[in-house]
Amino acid sequence: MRSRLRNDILLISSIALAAALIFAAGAIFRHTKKGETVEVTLGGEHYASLPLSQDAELDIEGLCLLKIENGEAYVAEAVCRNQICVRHRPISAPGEVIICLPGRVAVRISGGPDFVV
Amino acid sequence: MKKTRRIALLGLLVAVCFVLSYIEFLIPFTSLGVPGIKIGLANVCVMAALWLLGPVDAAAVNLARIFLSWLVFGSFTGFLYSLAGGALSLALMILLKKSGRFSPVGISAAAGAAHNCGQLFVAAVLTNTAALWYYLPVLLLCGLAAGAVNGIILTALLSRLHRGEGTDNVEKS
Repeated sequence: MRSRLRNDILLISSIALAAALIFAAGAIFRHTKKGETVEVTLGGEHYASLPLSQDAELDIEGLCLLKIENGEAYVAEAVCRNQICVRHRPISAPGEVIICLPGRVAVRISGGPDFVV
Repeated sequence: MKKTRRIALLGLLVAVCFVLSYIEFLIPFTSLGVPGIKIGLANVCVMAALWLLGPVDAAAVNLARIFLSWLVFGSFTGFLYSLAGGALSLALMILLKKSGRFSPVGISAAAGAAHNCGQLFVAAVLTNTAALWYYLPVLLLCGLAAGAVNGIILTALLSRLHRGEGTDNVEKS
Protein backbone atom coordinates (compact mmCIF):
# COMPACT_ATOMS: atom_id res chain seq x y z
CA MET A 1 0.00 0.00 0.00
CA ARG A 2 2.89 2.35 0.83
CA SER A 3 4.52 1.80 -2.53
CA ARG A 4 1.22 2.47 -4.25
CA LEU A 5 0.97 5.79 -2.51
CA ARG A 6 4.48 6.58 -3.63
CA ASN A 7 3.66 5.57 -7.21
CA ASP A 8 0.52 7.71 -7.14
CA ILE A 9 2.49 10.72 -6.01
CA LEU A 10 5.08 10.06 -8.72
CA LEU A 11 2.38 9.69 -11.38
CA ILE A 12 0.50 12.82 -10.39
CA SER A 13 3.58 14.97 -9.95
CA SER A 14 5.02 13.89 -13.30
CA ILE A 15 1.81 14.94 -15.04
CA ALA A 16 1.88 18.23 -13.15
CA LEU A 17 5.51 18.65 -14.15
CA ALA A 18 4.61 18.00 -17.80
CA ALA A 19 1.95 20.71 -17.52
CA ALA A 20 4.52 23.13 -16.11
CA LEU A 21 6.98 22.30 -18.89
CA ILE A 22 4.38 22.81 -21.61
CA PHE A 23 3.45 26.10 -20.01
CA ALA A 24 7.10 27.21 -19.89
CA ALA A 25 7.75 26.10 -23.46
CA GLY A 26 4.66 27.97 -24.59
CA ALA A 27 5.72 31.12 -22.79
CA ILE A 28 9.18 31.03 -24.35
CA PHE A 29 7.84 30.19 -27.80
CA ARG A 30 5.34 32.99 -27.63
CA HIS A 31 8.01 35.57 -27.01
CA THR A 32 10.28 34.39 -29.78
CA LYS A 33 7.47 34.21 -32.30
CA LYS A 34 7.32 37.24 -34.59
CA GLY A 35 4.29 38.49 -36.43
CA GLU A 36 4.32 39.84 -39.95
CA THR A 37 2.06 42.85 -40.10
CA VAL A 38 1.17 45.78 -37.87
CA GLU A 39 -2.52 46.55 -38.17
CA VAL A 40 -3.71 49.93 -36.98
CA THR A 41 -7.37 50.63 -36.36
CA LEU A 42 -8.89 53.98 -35.51
CA GLY A 43 -12.29 54.00 -33.86
CA GLY A 44 -12.70 50.33 -34.75
CA GLU A 45 -12.06 50.92 -38.45
CA HIS A 46 -9.04 49.90 -40.43
CA TYR A 47 -6.54 52.74 -40.64
CA ALA A 48 -3.23 51.29 -41.86
CA SER A 49 -1.22 48.09 -42.29
CA LEU A 50 2.55 48.12 -42.13
CA PRO A 51 5.12 45.34 -42.46
CA LEU A 52 6.79 44.59 -39.13
CA SER A 53 10.08 43.85 -40.84
CA GLN A 54 10.56 47.40 -42.08
CA ASP A 55 11.44 50.31 -39.82
CA ALA A 56 8.79 53.00 -40.12
CA GLU A 57 7.03 55.86 -38.41
CA LEU A 58 3.33 56.56 -38.64
CA ASP A 59 1.53 59.60 -37.35
CA ILE A 60 -2.00 58.47 -36.53
CA GLU A 61 -4.16 61.57 -37.02
CA GLY A 62 -1.95 63.49 -34.61
CA LEU A 63 -3.21 61.25 -31.78
CA CYS A 64 -0.17 59.06 -31.40
CA LEU A 65 3.07 58.34 -33.13
CA LEU A 66 3.65 54.70 -33.99
CA LYS A 67 7.21 53.54 -34.54
CA ILE A 68 8.43 50.24 -35.93
CA GLU A 69 12.03 49.43 -35.14
CA ASN A 70 13.95 46.15 -35.35
CA GLY A 71 10.80 44.12 -35.86
CA GLU A 72 9.02 45.64 -32.88
CA ALA A 73 6.20 48.15 -32.80
CA TYR A 74 5.62 50.72 -30.10
CA VAL A 75 3.91 54.03 -29.53
CA ALA A 76 6.54 56.73 -29.15
CA GLU A 77 4.30 59.70 -28.45
CA ALA A 78 0.68 60.27 -27.63
CA VAL A 79 -1.37 63.35 -26.95
CA CYS A 80 -3.41 61.76 -24.20
CA ARG A 81 -2.86 62.51 -20.54
CA ASN A 82 -2.17 59.07 -19.07
CA GLN A 83 0.41 57.89 -21.65
CA ILE A 84 -0.42 54.23 -21.06
CA CYS A 85 0.22 53.29 -24.68
CA VAL A 86 3.59 54.99 -24.63
CA ARG A 87 4.62 53.04 -21.54
CA HIS A 88 3.48 49.73 -23.05
CA ARG A 89 6.45 47.55 -23.94
CA PRO A 90 7.17 47.06 -27.67
CA ILE A 91 5.08 44.33 -29.28
CA SER A 92 6.06 41.78 -31.91
CA ALA A 93 4.17 38.50 -31.34
CA PRO A 94 1.00 37.76 -33.33
CA GLY A 95 -2.05 38.81 -31.36
CA GLU A 96 -0.31 41.37 -29.16
CA VAL A 97 -2.04 44.74 -28.99
CA ILE A 98 -1.31 48.26 -27.81
CA ILE A 99 -4.43 50.28 -27.24
CA CYS A 100 -4.83 54.00 -26.77
CA LEU A 101 -8.30 54.36 -25.32
CA PRO A 102 -8.67 58.16 -25.45
CA GLY A 103 -7.64 58.18 -29.11
CA ARG A 104 -9.57 54.94 -29.85
CA VAL A 105 -6.45 53.65 -31.55
CA ALA A 106 -5.51 49.97 -31.54
CA VAL A 107 -2.21 48.64 -32.81
CA ARG A 108 -2.29 44.89 -33.35
CA ILE A 109 0.30 42.44 -34.64
CA SER A 110 -1.03 39.90 -37.11
CA GLY A 111 0.31 37.32 -39.50
CA GLY A 112 1.90 33.96 -38.97
CA PRO A 113 0.11 31.33 -36.95
CA ASP A 114 -1.95 32.97 -34.25
CA PHE A 115 -0.39 31.60 -31.11
CA VAL A 116 -1.84 33.97 -28.59
CA VAL A 117 -5.17 32.79 -27.28
CA MET B 1 -20.37 -13.45 -11.57
CA LYS B 2 -23.64 -14.77 -12.90
CA LYS B 3 -24.73 -13.39 -16.24
CA THR B 4 -28.00 -11.96 -14.99
CA ARG B 5 -26.28 -10.26 -12.09
CA ARG B 6 -23.71 -8.79 -14.45
CA ILE B 7 -26.41 -7.46 -16.77
CA ALA B 8 -28.30 -5.96 -13.86
CA LEU B 9 -25.19 -4.33 -12.46
CA LEU B 10 -24.27 -2.93 -15.90
CA GLY B 11 -27.74 -1.46 -16.32
CA LEU B 12 -27.56 0.06 -12.87
CA LEU B 13 -24.17 1.60 -13.53
CA VAL B 14 -25.29 3.06 -16.87
CA ALA B 15 -28.35 4.56 -15.21
CA VAL B 16 -26.39 6.12 -12.34
CA CYS B 17 -23.79 7.28 -14.82
CA PHE B 18 -26.41 9.04 -16.88
CA VAL B 19 -28.00 10.70 -13.86
CA LEU B 20 -24.56 11.98 -12.81
CA SER B 21 -23.99 13.35 -16.32
CA TYR B 22 -27.29 15.15 -16.08
CA ILE B 23 -26.56 16.58 -12.64
CA GLU B 24 -23.27 17.91 -13.92
CA PHE B 25 -24.98 19.37 -16.93
CA LEU B 26 -27.02 21.47 -14.51
CA ILE B 27 -24.01 22.84 -12.62
CA PRO B 28 -22.50 25.83 -14.44
CA PHE B 29 -18.80 25.14 -13.91
CA THR B 30 -18.00 27.44 -16.80
CA SER B 31 -19.00 30.40 -14.65
CA LEU B 32 -15.95 29.70 -12.48
CA GLY B 33 -13.88 31.22 -15.25
CA VAL B 34 -12.36 28.12 -16.81
CA PRO B 35 -14.44 27.15 -19.84
CA GLY B 36 -15.15 23.48 -20.39
CA ILE B 37 -14.14 22.33 -16.93
CA LYS B 38 -16.19 19.81 -14.99
CA ILE B 39 -15.56 17.12 -12.41
CA GLY B 40 -16.72 14.28 -14.63
CA LEU B 41 -18.57 12.46 -11.86
CA ALA B 42 -19.95 10.02 -14.40
CA ASN B 43 -16.49 8.56 -14.64
CA VAL B 44 -16.94 7.16 -11.13
CA CYS B 45 -19.44 4.74 -12.68
CA VAL B 46 -17.12 3.81 -15.50
CA MET B 47 -14.40 3.14 -12.96
CA ALA B 48 -16.78 1.18 -10.78
CA ALA B 49 -17.53 -1.00 -13.81
CA LEU B 50 -13.82 -1.42 -14.42
CA TRP B 51 -13.11 -2.46 -10.84
CA LEU B 52 -16.21 -4.57 -10.24
CA LEU B 53 -16.54 -6.20 -13.67
CA GLY B 54 -13.71 -5.60 -16.10
CA PRO B 55 -12.36 -3.60 -19.05
CA VAL B 56 -14.98 -4.70 -21.58
CA ASP B 57 -17.86 -3.80 -19.27
CA ALA B 58 -16.25 -0.47 -18.40
CA ALA B 59 -16.00 0.30 -22.12
CA ALA B 60 -19.65 -0.66 -22.52
CA VAL B 61 -20.76 1.66 -19.71
CA ASN B 62 -18.60 4.45 -21.09
CA LEU B 63 -19.97 4.09 -24.63
CA ALA B 64 -23.54 3.92 -23.38
CA ARG B 65 -23.00 7.07 -21.33
CA ILE B 66 -21.49 8.98 -24.26
CA PHE B 67 -24.18 7.82 -26.66
CA LEU B 68 -27.00 8.69 -24.24
CA SER B 69 -25.54 12.13 -23.62
CA TRP B 70 -25.42 12.71 -27.33
CA LEU B 71 -29.07 11.74 -27.70
CA VAL B 72 -30.24 13.89 -24.82
CA PHE B 73 -27.96 16.92 -24.86
CA GLY B 74 -27.79 16.66 -28.63
CA SER B 75 -24.51 18.08 -29.77
CA PHE B 76 -22.44 16.13 -32.25
CA THR B 77 -19.23 18.00 -31.47
CA GLY B 78 -19.83 17.29 -27.80
CA PHE B 79 -20.20 13.64 -28.75
CA LEU B 80 -16.85 13.66 -30.53
CA TYR B 81 -15.17 15.38 -27.59
CA SER B 82 -16.60 12.86 -25.15
CA LEU B 83 -15.65 9.94 -27.35
CA ALA B 84 -12.02 11.03 -27.67
CA GLY B 85 -11.69 11.92 -24.01
CA GLY B 86 -13.52 8.81 -22.86
CA ALA B 87 -11.52 6.44 -25.05
CA LEU B 88 -8.16 7.90 -24.05
CA SER B 89 -8.91 8.01 -20.34
CA LEU B 90 -10.38 4.50 -20.27
CA ALA B 91 -7.40 3.07 -22.15
CA LEU B 92 -5.05 4.68 -19.65
CA MET B 93 -7.11 3.47 -16.70
CA ILE B 94 -7.08 -0.11 -17.97
CA LEU B 95 -3.32 0.01 -18.46
CA LEU B 96 -2.55 1.58 -15.10
CA LYS B 97 -4.91 -0.74 -13.26
CA LYS B 98 -3.40 -3.77 -14.95
CA SER B 99 0.06 -2.71 -13.83
CA GLY B 100 -1.19 -3.04 -10.26
CA ARG B 101 1.08 -0.28 -9.09
CA PHE B 102 -1.38 2.51 -8.55
CA SER B 103 -4.32 3.18 -6.26
CA PRO B 104 -7.73 4.26 -7.62
CA VAL B 105 -6.93 7.87 -6.74
CA GLY B 106 -3.74 7.93 -8.79
CA ILE B 107 -5.34 6.11 -11.71
CA SER B 108 -8.35 8.39 -11.69
CA ALA B 109 -6.21 11.55 -11.55
CA ALA B 110 -4.14 10.41 -14.53
CA ALA B 111 -7.32 9.44 -16.38
CA GLY B 112 -8.77 12.89 -15.78
CA ALA B 113 -5.70 14.48 -17.32
CA ALA B 114 -5.85 12.03 -20.25
CA HIS B 115 -9.52 12.79 -20.78
CA ASN B 116 -8.80 16.49 -21.16
CA CYS B 117 -5.88 15.75 -23.50
CA GLY B 118 -8.16 13.76 -25.78
CA GLN B 119 -10.76 16.52 -25.80
CA LEU B 120 -8.22 19.19 -26.54
CA PHE B 121 -6.81 17.10 -29.37
CA VAL B 122 -10.24 16.84 -30.98
CA ALA B 123 -10.80 20.56 -30.46
CA ALA B 124 -7.45 21.35 -32.10
CA VAL B 125 -8.29 19.15 -35.09
CA LEU B 126 -11.87 20.44 -35.44
CA THR B 127 -11.00 24.12 -35.17
CA ASN B 128 -7.63 23.70 -36.87
CA THR B 129 -5.92 25.87 -34.26
CA ALA B 130 -2.55 25.00 -32.81
CA ALA B 131 -3.11 27.89 -30.39
CA LEU B 132 -5.17 25.60 -28.20
CA TRP B 133 -1.99 23.99 -26.89
CA TYR B 134 -1.65 26.95 -24.61
CA TYR B 135 -4.67 25.67 -22.80
CA LEU B 136 -3.17 22.23 -22.22
CA PRO B 137 -1.37 22.95 -18.91
CA VAL B 138 -4.60 24.31 -17.40
CA LEU B 139 -6.55 21.32 -18.64
CA LEU B 140 -3.95 18.84 -17.36
CA LEU B 141 -3.99 20.32 -13.87
CA CYS B 142 -7.78 20.57 -13.75
CA GLY B 143 -8.02 16.99 -15.01
CA LEU B 144 -5.68 15.82 -12.25
CA ALA B 145 -7.70 17.59 -9.57
CA ALA B 146 -11.07 16.44 -10.85
CA GLY B 147 -9.77 12.91 -11.35
CA ALA B 148 -8.39 12.78 -7.83
CA VAL B 149 -11.81 13.78 -6.47
CA ASN B 150 -13.41 10.97 -8.48
CA GLY B 151 -10.76 8.56 -7.26
CA ILE B 152 -11.52 9.39 -3.64
CA ILE B 153 -15.22 8.85 -4.29
CA LEU B 154 -14.44 5.53 -5.97
CA THR B 155 -12.29 4.39 -3.05
CA ALA B 156 -15.11 5.16 -0.64
CA LEU B 157 -17.57 3.40 -2.92
CA LEU B 158 -15.45 0.27 -3.34
CA SER B 159 -14.78 -0.12 0.38
CA ARG B 160 -18.53 -0.01 1.02
CA LEU B 161 -19.27 -2.44 -1.79
CA HIS B 162 -16.68 -4.89 -0.48
CA ARG B 163 -18.53 -4.92 2.80
CA GLY B 164 -21.81 -5.75 1.08
CA GLU B 165 -23.02 -9.13 -0.03
CA GLY B 166 -23.02 -10.61 -3.47
CA THR B 167 -19.76 -9.02 -4.46
CA ASP B 168 -17.71 -12.03 -3.46
CA ASN B 169 -15.72 -12.09 -6.68
CA VAL B 170 -14.84 -8.44 -6.50
CA GLU B 171 -11.13 -8.20 -6.53
CA LYS B 172 -9.46 -6.10 -3.90
CA SER B 173 -8.63 -2.66 -5.17
